[in-house]
Amino acid sequence: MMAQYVDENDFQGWHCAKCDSDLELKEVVVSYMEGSFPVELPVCKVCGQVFIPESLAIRKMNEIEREMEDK
Amino acid sequence: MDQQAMRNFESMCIQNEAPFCVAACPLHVDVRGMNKAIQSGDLAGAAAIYRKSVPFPEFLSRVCNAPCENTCRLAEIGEGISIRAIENALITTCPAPVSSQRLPQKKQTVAVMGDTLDCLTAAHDLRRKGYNVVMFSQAAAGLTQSNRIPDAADFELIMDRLLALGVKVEPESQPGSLDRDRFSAFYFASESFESEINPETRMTNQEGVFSGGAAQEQWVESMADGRRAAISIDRFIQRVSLTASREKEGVYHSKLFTSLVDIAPSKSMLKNQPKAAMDSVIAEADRCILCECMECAKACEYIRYYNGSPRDYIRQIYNNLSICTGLRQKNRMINSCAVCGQCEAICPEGLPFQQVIQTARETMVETRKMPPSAFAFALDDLAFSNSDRFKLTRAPAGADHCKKAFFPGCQLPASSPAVTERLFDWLNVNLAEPVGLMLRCCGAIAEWAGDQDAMQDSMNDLRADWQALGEPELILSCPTCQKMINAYLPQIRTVSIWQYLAQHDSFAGIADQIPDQIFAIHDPCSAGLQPETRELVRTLAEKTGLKISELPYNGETATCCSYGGNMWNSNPELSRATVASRISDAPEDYLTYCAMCRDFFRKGGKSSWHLLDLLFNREEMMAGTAPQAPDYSQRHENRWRIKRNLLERVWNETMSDKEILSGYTLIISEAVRKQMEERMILVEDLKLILKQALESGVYMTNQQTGTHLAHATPSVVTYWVEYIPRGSEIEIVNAYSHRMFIKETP
Repeated sequence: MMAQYVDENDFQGWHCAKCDSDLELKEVVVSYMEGSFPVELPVCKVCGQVFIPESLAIRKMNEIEREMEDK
Repeated sequence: MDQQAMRNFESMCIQNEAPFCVAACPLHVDVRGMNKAIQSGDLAGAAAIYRKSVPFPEFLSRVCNAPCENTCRLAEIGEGISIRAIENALITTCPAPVSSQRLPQKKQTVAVMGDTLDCLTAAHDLRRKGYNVVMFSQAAAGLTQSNRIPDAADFELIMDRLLALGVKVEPESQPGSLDRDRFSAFYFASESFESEINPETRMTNQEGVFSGGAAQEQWVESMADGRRAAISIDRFIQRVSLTASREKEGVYHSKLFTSLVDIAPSKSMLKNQPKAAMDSVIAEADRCILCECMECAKACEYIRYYNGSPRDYIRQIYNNLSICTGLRQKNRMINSCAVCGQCEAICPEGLPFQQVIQTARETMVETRKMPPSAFAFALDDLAFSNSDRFKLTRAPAGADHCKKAFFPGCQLPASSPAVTERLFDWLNVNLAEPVGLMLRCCGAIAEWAGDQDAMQDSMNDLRADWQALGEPELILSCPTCQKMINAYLPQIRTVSIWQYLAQHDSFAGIADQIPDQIFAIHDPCSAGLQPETRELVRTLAEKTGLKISELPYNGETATCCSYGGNMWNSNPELSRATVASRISDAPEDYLTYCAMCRDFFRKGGKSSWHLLDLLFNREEMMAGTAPQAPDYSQRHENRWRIKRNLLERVWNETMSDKEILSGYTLIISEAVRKQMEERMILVEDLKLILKQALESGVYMTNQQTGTHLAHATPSVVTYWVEYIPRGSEIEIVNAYSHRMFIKETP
C-alpha cells in the first residue's frame, strides 16, 4: 500500500508561484540509497513541483533515512 | 576485526572480572551482588544470593572462616567489610523460601562414603544434579553421633535437608570393595583416602573415585572440595572432559582494578557484635563500594552514554559488523566515539578501544555499510577547506620556495581569523627568514570518518603542495594537524608554534593586563602524546604571568571536547553532554591551545580562551568575557575571508571567487540561525537555493502567510528555505533539509 504522510491541512494555503496553480495529493517516487517507494505528496497540478512540509522532513523522512542507512 | 581479534580486545577489559572477595571465596558467593541488594533495600533478594551459592547456609554463615574478608579492598585504607556477619544476619532474618523446584532425575547412583562436610556437600550437589545418592555413614543413619559437625543440631538440620532432597542413607561406613555394578562413582571423606588426589578434579588415582582434601574445620574449603568433586563426578558419568574450563573454580586471583582514590576510610559496624541489629547490618553493607573498574567511564561521557563497558561495546561492535540482513543497530554507537584514546591512557590494562572503533568505521566504509549521513557535514567541511574557497599554498611574496611555512590548520582560521593573521605576521617579523603559508585541512576529518581513501587523497595533496613550496619545515598551531602529519608524512619536519613563541621574550609579563584570575588549563586530546607541546604551553603561560591551575584528566589522559572523531556531527546530543561534563570540571575560565576545544566550551556556556588570544587578541581577554563561538556558516566565511585578506595584503592578488547571491542581503534572526546550526544548514546552502529559485521562478507561495518556499538539491541533500522577499533583502523564516531524493515529474 502506498504510504500517506501528508494530509490536506499540511499544505493549506500553498500554491505554485510559477504556474499560479493549486496543489493536489499525487503519487511521487522517493528514493534513498538502494531503495525507492511511492508516496502520496502535495504537488503542483500543472508542473509537478513537490511540496514537503517541515514536519515531514524532520520527523518521518529523517526516521526512514536512518533506518535505511542502518539496513 | 576477526573473532580472535575481538576476543583479544574483549579480554583486555577487566570490568567483568570478579570482585576480590568473590574470587577469594571457594564457593564464589556473590558478595557484591548481595551487598548491592541490601543497599537497594532488598534483604530477601540478598539472602537468596547467599543461599544460591551455599549448600547449608544456616551452618556456614555461622562458622565460615571468611577468607573473603581478608581481600576486601576497604581494608587497605580502613577496615574491610564484615561479610560473614552480614551473611549470618541475612540467613537468620530471612527464612528460606519453600522450594517447589523439581529435580532432574538421572538413573546413575553415586556412593558417598562418610559424613564430613565435603561428603554432605557432594551428596547435596549430586542429588541436585539428579543422581541417586547413597550415603554410607553410621551417624547419618542415626546410629552414632557425628564427630565431624560439632553441633548435633547442625548435623541434624543438614541431614534433614539431604533426606528431603532424596539422599538415601546406609549404615556401613566402609564397604570392603568398590561395588562398581551398583555405583557409577564414589566420593570418600577427605581424610579417609590416602592415595594421590588431583587438586583440580578431586579424582584419586583410581578411576571414578573422588575425595576431598581440606582439613577439619576448614568449613568453606571442605564445601568447595565436595562441590568440585560433584562437578567432576557429573562430568565423569557424562564422559566429558574432567579438566576443561575449570580455571575459575575455587579460589583464584582476579584481575579486577578498583580505584580507592575517592574512597574515605571507614570502620566496620559489626566487628565484635555477635547479635547485631539489622540497622547495623544494613549500614555495614552500605559501606561496600561494589568493586568494579570503570576507570574509563569515570572520564569519558561516551562510555557512560551507552550504559556499558568497553567489553560490552566490543562484542556489540563485532556483532554489528557481522550482520548480513537486518538493522545494524550499533552504527550510531560506533560513530559517536571521539577516537581520542583517553580510555587507553586510563585503562589499567591499556585496552586501545579507540582502535576497535577506528577499525570498525574503516570496515563500514570499505563494505559500503557506513551510513551516508553519519559524517557528511564534517566531510563537507573538509572538502570546503581543501577547495579554492580556503586552500592556499604560497611561498613568501616574491619567492618560489621557502624554508619554513605556517600551517594553521582549518579551524583556527575558522574561529579566529584575526589571531591567525597576526600570528602569521608575527612569524614573518620574528623568524630569521620569510615564512610561507599553507591553508587547508590536514585530513583528520576523513580519518575519523573511517574514510582512508579520502584521508590519503588529502595527505597526497598536502605532500604535493609541500613539495611545491620546496619541502619547508611546517609550523603548526593545531595539535591534531601535528599528530596527523607526523603519522602519515613523517618526512615532513614539523614544529609547533609554541616552540617559537615560548622562546620569545616579548610575551613576558603581558598577562598583567588581564583581570586577576586563575585559568584552568585544558589539554586538547591530540596533545595527549605530545608532552613537549604541553610543556611549552605551560612555560609560555607562566612567562606571561598568567596564573594557571590543572584540570583532572589532562596530559596523557586529556579529555576530548567532542570535535574529535567527528562526534559533534554524528551525535550532537552526546557532544553537548561531553562538553557539559568537561566544563563542569572546574569553576575557573579555561585556557587551551586548540581552537575547537575553546569554541565547543564557549558554545556550552564556559568562558574559555586560546593561549593565542592572550598573545594576539588581548583586548577581548582584558574585557573579561569570552565572545560567542562562531557558527558553522561564520566558520566558512572566516576561512574564505582570511584567504582573500592575505592574498590581497601579502601577495597583492585578488581572489576570483564570486558571491553566490549577489545583489541580495539575507536577514536571518538569531532564532532561525540557531535552528540552522542545529540542523547543520549553512547560509551558503540557502543562497544556492534562493539563487536557483530567483533565476528559475520555481517556488511556492503561501497565500495566507505571504511567505515563499523554495527547494533544491545542490548535491545529495535537499534544502528547503521559507522566506519573505523585500526588495534587495530576503528575510529567512525557516530552513530544513532531507536526504531522501524526490523524483519530480510534471
